[in-house]
Amino acid sequence: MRARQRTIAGLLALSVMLAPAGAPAQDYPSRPIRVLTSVGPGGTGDLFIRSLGEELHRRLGQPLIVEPRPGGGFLIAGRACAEASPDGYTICMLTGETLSYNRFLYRQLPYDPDRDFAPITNLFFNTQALVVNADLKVRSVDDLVALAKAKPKSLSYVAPAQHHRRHCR
Amino acid sequence: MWRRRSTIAAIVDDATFREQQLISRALEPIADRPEEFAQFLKADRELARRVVELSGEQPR
Repeated sequence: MRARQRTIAGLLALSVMLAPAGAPAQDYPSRPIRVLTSVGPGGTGDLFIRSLGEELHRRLGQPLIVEPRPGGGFLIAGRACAEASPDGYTICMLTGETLSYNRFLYRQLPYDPDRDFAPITNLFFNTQALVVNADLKVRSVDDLVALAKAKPKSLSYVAPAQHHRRHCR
Repeated sequence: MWRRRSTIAAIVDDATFREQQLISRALEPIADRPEEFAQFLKADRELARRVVELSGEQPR
């Protein structure tokens, strides 16, 4: 049994970011651009942003420095992004956890997802899968739900993190 | 910022880049405009509210 879901990875600028203060827009960028990410090194998101960075370096003439800030239920990256200077030289690649889910999972956030960031583009959807051991003979989500109800507390479940979108699902 | 988004969109729209860096890794390319992304985020926020509510997860 497999069930797919789509998750986002969006590229965001800090709010109020247009071009560096005091510099003509046509000179932008005149130094490296930092990219804060909420994903760890080596994953698909990290590989993608590094590939995109290489292409942007070639086209814009300045390198992108990728700074992964994973962990902490995606709060660490959100906070780092919100606290970075809105000077046009820090952008962020954040996921749906930081932007959509955490506001419902935490009473207080160290950032405001509506006010601290300005959207640039949604980069991609990532496919997530729900899988079971083949021996379980489950063929659909409905089968899985029925089995869980028929045998309460007999199934264990693994998710990437607790208190997390995929944990909720 | 607009210039940079256009640059990003041009890269993501490049057939070779899409295939090698996205599709081959099971990533679905989007690279939409800022206003489209903002609209998407509104809808995603509503979905998130419903998912968390249905899960029974309590804010901590």
